[in-house]
Amino acid sequence: MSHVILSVHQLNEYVRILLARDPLLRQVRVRGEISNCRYPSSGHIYFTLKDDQDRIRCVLFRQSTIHLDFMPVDGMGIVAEGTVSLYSKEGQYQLTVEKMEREGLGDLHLAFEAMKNRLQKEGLFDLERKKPLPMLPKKIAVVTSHTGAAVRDILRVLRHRNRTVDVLILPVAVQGAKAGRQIASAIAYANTRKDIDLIITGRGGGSIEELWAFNEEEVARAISRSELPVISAVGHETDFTISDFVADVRAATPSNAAELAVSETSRLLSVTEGLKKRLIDAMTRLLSDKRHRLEMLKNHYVFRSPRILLDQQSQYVDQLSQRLMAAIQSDLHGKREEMGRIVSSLNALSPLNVLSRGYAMVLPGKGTIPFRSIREIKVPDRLKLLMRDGRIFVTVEEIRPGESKAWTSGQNREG
Amino acid sequence: MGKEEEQQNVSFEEAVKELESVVNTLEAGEVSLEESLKLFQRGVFLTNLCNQKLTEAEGAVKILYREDTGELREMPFGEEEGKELPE
Repeated sequence: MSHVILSVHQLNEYVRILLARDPLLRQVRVRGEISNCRYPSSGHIYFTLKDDQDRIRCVLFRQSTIHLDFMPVDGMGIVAEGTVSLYSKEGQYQLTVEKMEREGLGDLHLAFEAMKNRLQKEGLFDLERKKPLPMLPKKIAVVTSHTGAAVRDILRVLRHRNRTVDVLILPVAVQGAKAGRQIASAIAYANTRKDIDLIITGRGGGSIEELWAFNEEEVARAISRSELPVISAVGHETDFTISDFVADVRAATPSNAAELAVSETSRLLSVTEGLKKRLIDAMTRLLSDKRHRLEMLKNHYVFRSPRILLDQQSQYVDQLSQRLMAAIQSDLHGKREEMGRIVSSLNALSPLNVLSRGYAMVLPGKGTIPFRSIREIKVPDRLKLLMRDGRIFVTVEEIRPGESKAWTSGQNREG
Repeated sequence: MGKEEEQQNVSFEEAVKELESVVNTLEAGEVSLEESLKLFQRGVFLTNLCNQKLTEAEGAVKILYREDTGELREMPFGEEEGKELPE
């Protein structure tokens, strides 16, 4: 038994070195099931790997997470590869994982990698193929489950940023055997419509199996064939699917897709207000330039020697007065003709003309103003009747008031 | 005016692009007074069109579903419970 007393640190350091020197522990592969998996904001992933008897603490540092093609979740069977080391602060030994694979997913995974490589070689992921998003889409088609959290998140963010945009939800299954085909045909359908400006497709977070539809070739092809720009928003920030690579824009989450789809109205308003200000400024400057040039012209020699101008002006006045005279002459001629027409129409109205049609005018025996009423006449006035061809002098015997109609009926009675 | 009414269908983006080109032309200043007035009027029209597009009535949220007859229909989102959704 040793009499040397070590500090805790010295002991841990000794064990740490011991573990680090062991060649097997430096590169070990361990099979187990994930439990107590945590994702702190540091980006590292902590979990416990267990089998039916024991457990070991594991850490996957952030720089290693980029090699992951699935999201580790509790209950998942994996094979982890890494280094066994001591975490001396806690006196715990742990597995620092560098790579891990899902157990039992091997064949599917290989097929996936093969398909991904094929699509990449075909150029489906090329940046040159990416279509720009419209500045202000009028209508957005959302291809996702109508009951999921994703659709609610998308709608909430869209409404918050821009309330004028129309949304058409194309409900599809986002997991299960039919999902891929439904997603692909919904994307194709949106392209047959004339009113859609942009497509968002995706779903909320889930296991790799749940996200699998977005890894299917059918979906990748539909996105690449889409004439309309497509935003892919599948799962969480750390989930990458084939549709993310093929889409014109990859959003980290469904909410993020909505943010990318529409700019805030206030930002667009400031764009148009900025242009409006430039428009008015440019016009103001242009007008003041023109005004300035006018001032310069006013100082031109022509305007400075009015003599030239006066000569021209007096010539112009002569010309005008000639034209004026000609106009008055022709006007006079017209007036004369009009006069003739008026005189002949006056003739038609003359009382002499009326007399020739058998009427007589009644005047006082000695007077020239015709009577208009029997009230101006008494028995036994002397009257003068004027007819077309002469005068008759008569004496009034009787006066009967009444309309001339009464006279007509009286005549009938006597007849 | 018929032309301007028709241009209600112009997208926001196209209107902004044209507005930018109008502003650039005016800023270059190499246009006649008459032409510049025309451009200015056009610019004011486009500005109003853009602002109108930003502030027009609230957009609708609809969902597509398939009728028993197989016909596709749209209805306001939230009222589709129990409807058969498209394959």
